[in-house]
Amino acid sequence: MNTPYRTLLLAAVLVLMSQNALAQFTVRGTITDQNTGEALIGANVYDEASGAGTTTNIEGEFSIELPGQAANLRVTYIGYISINMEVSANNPEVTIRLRPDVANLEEVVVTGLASTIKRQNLANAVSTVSAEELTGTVAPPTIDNALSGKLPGVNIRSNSGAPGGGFNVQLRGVSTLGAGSSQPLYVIDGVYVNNSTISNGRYQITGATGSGEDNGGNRLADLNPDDIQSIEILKGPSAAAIYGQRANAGVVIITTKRGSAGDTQVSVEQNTGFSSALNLLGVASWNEEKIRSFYPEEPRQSQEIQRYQDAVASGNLFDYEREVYGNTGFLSQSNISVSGGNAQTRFYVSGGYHSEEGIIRNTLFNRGSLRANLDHNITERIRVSSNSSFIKTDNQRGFTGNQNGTGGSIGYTISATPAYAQLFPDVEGNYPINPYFADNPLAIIAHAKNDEDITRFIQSLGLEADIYQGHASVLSVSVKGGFDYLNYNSMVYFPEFLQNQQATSNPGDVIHTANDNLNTNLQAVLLFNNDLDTGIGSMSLSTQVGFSRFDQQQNRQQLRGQGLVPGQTSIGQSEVQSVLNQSEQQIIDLGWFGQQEVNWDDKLIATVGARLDRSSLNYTQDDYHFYPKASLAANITNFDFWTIDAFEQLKLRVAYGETGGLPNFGDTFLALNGVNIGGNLGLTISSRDIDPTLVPERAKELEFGTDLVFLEGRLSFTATYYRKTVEDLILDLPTPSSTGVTAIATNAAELVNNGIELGLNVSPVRTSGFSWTSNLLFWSNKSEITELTIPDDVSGGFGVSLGNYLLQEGYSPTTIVGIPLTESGEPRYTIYGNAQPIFQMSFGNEIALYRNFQFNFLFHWSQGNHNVNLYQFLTDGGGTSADWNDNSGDGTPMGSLRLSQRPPESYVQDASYVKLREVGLYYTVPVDFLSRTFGGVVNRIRLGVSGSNLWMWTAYDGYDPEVSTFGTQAINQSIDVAQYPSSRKVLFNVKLDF
Amino acid sequence: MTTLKTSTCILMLAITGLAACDLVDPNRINDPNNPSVNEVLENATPGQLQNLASGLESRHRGSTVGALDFTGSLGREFYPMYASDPRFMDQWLGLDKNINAETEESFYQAGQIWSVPYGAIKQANLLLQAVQNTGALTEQEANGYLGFAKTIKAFQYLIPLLTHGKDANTGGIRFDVADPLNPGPFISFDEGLTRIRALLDEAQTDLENAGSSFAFNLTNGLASFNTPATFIILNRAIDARTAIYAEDWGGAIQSLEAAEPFFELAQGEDVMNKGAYFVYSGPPDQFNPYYYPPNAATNQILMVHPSMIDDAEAGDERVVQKFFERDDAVIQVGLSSAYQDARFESNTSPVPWIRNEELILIYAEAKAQRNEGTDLANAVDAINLVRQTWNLAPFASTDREDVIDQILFERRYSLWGEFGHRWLDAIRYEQLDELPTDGGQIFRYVARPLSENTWEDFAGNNN
Repeated sequence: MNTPYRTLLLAAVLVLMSQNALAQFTVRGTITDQNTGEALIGANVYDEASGAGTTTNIEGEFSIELPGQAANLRVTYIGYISINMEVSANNPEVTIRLRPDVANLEEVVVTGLASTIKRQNLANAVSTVSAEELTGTVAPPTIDNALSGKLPGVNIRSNSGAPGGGFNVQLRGVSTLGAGSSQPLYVIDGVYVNNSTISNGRYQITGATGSGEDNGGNRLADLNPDDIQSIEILKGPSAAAIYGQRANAGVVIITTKRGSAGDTQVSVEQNTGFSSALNLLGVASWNEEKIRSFYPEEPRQSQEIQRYQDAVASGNLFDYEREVYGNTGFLSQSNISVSGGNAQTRFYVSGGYHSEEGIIRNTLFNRGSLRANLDHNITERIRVSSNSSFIKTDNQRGFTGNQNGTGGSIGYTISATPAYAQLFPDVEGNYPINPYFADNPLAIIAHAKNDEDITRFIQSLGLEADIYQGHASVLSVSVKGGFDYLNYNSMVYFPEFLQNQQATSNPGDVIHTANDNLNTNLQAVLLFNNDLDTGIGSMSLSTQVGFSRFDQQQNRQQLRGQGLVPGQTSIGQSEVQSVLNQSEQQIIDLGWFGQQEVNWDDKLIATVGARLDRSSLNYTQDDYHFYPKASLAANITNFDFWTIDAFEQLKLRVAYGETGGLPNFGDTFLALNGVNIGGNLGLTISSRDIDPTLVPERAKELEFGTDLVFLEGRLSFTATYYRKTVEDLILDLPTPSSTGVTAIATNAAELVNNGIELGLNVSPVRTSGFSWTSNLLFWSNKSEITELTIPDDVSGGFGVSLGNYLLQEGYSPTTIVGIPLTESGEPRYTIYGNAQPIFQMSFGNEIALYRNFQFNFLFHWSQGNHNVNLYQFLTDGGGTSADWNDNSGDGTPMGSLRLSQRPPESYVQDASYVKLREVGLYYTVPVDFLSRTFGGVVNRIRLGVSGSNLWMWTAYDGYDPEVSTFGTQAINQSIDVAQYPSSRKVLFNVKLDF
Repeated sequence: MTTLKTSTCILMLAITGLAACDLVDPNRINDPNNPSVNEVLENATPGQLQNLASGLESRHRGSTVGALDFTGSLGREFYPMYASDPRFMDQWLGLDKNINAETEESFYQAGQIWSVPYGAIKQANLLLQAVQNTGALTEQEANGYLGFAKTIKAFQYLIPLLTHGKDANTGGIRFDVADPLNPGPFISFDEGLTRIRALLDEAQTDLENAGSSFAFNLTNGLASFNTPATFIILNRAIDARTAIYAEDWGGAIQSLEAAEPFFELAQGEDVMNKGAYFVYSGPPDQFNPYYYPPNAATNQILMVHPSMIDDAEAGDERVVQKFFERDDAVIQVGLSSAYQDARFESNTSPVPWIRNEELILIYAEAKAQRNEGTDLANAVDAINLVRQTWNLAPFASTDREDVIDQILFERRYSLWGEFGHRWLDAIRYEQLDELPTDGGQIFRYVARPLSENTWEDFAGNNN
């Protein structure tokens, strides 16, 4: 404590002492859960008048010395409703029972860039996920993975089952058609973090069509979910408007764990388990008749029949699906954290190591992370904080997905490989040629490499200072900033002896990629809070104005070597050396913002705000764009006329906001590209042109809803309706390709997302022996293009002959269409499905038995979404789909029948599913036992077993209905080509708190 | 209070900091990786013009060579055995009966014969514009650029024109394509040929006024044509090729004469093979996309159509040199071929653009078609120059139809895999029904692409 305060305090104490010399008393008490009677450990007890405070011990007991004869204690505990309690020297023993805050009314939610609001006063449906909900049941490898099914209005889709993830997160429907970022902005402790998917160039080695098919993970995977205290999701513009031009796809605000004053707490956790394939499809058998139909010509026909007969005779028929996807991966996750501090300085230090093997051998995801979060009060009025995190990630993702002509996709290759193929290596380890495809998948698994290595440092710094304090007003300044440095190195390698390499002129192929990314952001806010007593009750005013800047820099080098010296992976050891990419990016965003909040006695809470933004990504880089917002919440139960006691809360709320979406880097430059021909350097004009009137995409959202809490929080219900309109959507005007220009990016469309989000939380039983909480969520979104000023078009996929997405007024951009053209042109092509689900539901349950046992599970249901199942198209072509041989009715095999139909008709398929996302059973060792055995050294021991994706029901004929060959995309996200199959994971958990 | 002072101080520092640097008003960020188109539109430097010219040669190579497997498959010179995408076989050979190239506006990979050559035309237009708006060149130097750019541009129009055919509704091409938002109308097949030849003539005039040397370098593939005078010869050879599509037999002969000494009536492999080529030199340049190591164990390979082997004359040296018999046949969707392309020694071997062997056969065809005086005998002599070069017995006939059939047969083997000649010849002579169907369909032309049709709807031209 610095001098001014110490002086003040001393003076206050002196004044008190002069009145009642040496008056002092001690209060002792126990704090328990009102329903279960369970002791609450670490609850805070605080006397505002004297500044005295303490926390409860592992028995839930506390003791506090207070001056004078009486005091009003504030008792708080996370997840419980805070109370005030009068104590006096006459009544020094108290028992305090806290009521669980089931509806999270007291939870604090960030609404401005430097201010928070209690959930009960919130005008938006901001979803919050706590550490317990995030990592309490299973130990998820990545954050996006941990959120699946837990948030209404949030559509999270994994692109594949590869270790290290790769996710598509869409908040409230479609927010861009691909020009802008389809992914939310992630802000961690105030730092705008990099969540990009960095291309390692795998597609260039395997012959796939583009970097989207590299099957990369998004870089949120680098963050350790165990470090997270809470996640808030600002799903739409009405909540996220204060983030302006970066917020069209929503904002995810992540807060990491912090230390609190009190005893030092040490927590150690170990998860150990395994992963195995969730859903193998099976493969069709072969017979001579089938072989004859596949190989009608001699001499191949006789050769194949001979191969088949030999395999049958020697018993060498194989299930190659099981051979390649049948690995049982070992999982281990260790976390240790130490936290504590005092009133002046608090710390949280943690270390974690996650290691995960995939269901394909030689694939893995390892991540080590260290974190140090510090808070220090220089004086009571000047507070600083620092959050540092260092991460090292090693991800080996293998070879799956699309390829062309290299066999550089395991699934693709086995789709064409019959069971009688002989692919196993000889005693010297030489793999035979696969006569059915461009490579031997077992050789690819054993010898090809696809390794990514990420080094990352994220740092944030904050300063808050109260510049002026009046009677009921405070003027403070908050400066926050930080950086996210991400260094990415990858290597994709095909050794020279692989079959596909032997088929090239320079066998042996390697691509090295180095990517350096630095994001920095700085934000300064002036905040003025003023409480007024008016004739109609208290009026609390909060004003903020500020400035924010966000800079991004990227340097990228990608080198390729072909014709490698055996065993070597260095570019210098190759005959043909090429630079695939060497480029820089620089982006600067600037914003100014202001917000005014008025809270009338927690009855009516109104907010208006606005932001002015500019970005170097815009065509006119110094133009500012205006993003307003306004909201109103009415707590009906707080009005005097409301007398129904059963209602704890009845809130009506409405909110409106606007946000922006920026073009991608380079889209506003009319560039000449370098080419080389016969030793001459050439410059070529792009086939894209630019519209000089281009403006950012703009989303406008109106949401309204109600929050109801009954029966002391045992039943709560929340309902929200939103209408999110995205205007000025940037699309390519498809100019006639005869002009040499195939597209001009222009503001060409408007789309509307209408959706509802419902949540029902029931806590029917809360007794000391048994408690049960159940959470039912339902959400549904419908998108429609309401205006299109360019010609109707299709996009994505592998063209309209295999099924892709319609772009036409009156239809959702997620509509899956295919040939033939329709007669009427309404729609232009035949509709086969929709990538967007009709609705999603989730059902989570938490059951506690005898205080010691806890059982959790979460079901997630997605209904009515479709995929383009091109993997079945491939297995049908190769005669390997599980039901290929089945009679389709008229004697033709199923596989032939599907192939003979138009592919969109056969292969656009219903991909609805129900998944048991999480299930966990935990046992907490009784406190009495711990005190007896360890003498209070160990506060808590928890043992458990958990599973993720243990069970799935789906109508879909693929490994997992959650799949995207093209990776994270705005629209093009439901195409399935031989992606890495999903796994089920089982973990055993031990957690000790000291 | 000290605290207030300290806080104010920090705030003031922060505010001064904001003003001091460009924190709140940064400079414009320009493309850090590429020059801008605007830099060459006015006052382009000689270096930039060279880059644009090399860029044009690159685009020209990309579209011409890139179309070979497409047109060659439609004309049954190849099997496109690129197994990773079944649509190559299904659509190009017409095996998928639901998809007809003549009506399907999104026919698989048809951009190769439309948007890609038009991309080369766009590049030529940029070069023309840059040359016309710079003071960095003498008039002769500028004319050299113009003649080069117009010749390549004229040739590029041929690719979409010939492949999209004469159909009244879907044939023809756009010719005026400089403004992407105001493209010119479609013109008919015949008018297209007229306009192409007019452009070639215009280029010839430019080249005649271009002095003795070019102000820019060309690749070694054009080593025989790297001066204005020799480039005229190449220009005339292209005109001769164009003339036979226009059935202007006299014009073809006239242009061939102007193409001497490139056009040379003599025998011998060297005589046949002299001409213009597309070079490949490996990174940072590209590799020859059609080179496959012999016996490559792959299912992603362009194979020789078996009819080329079945129909061959015994002892034809062209068959020996061009087709390599593999140890194992490649089999896809029930079709099989044991032969791969053997023309290229390595992945940096050049791909022919136009060779004297073609000029000799154009000469033979034009003569036989004109059929005046000794024309037919001249045609037979020309045929035999080719046949003797490739170790075949001389051909003799006085029947004009026989001679023309023989010319088409020789073109099939001499020009295999060079311009889709077999398909284009079969269209010209209405012999598509003689092509093997492989159980699929033989297409007469390829439908006008989707983007053209949607644009016409969009621009209201169809109302």
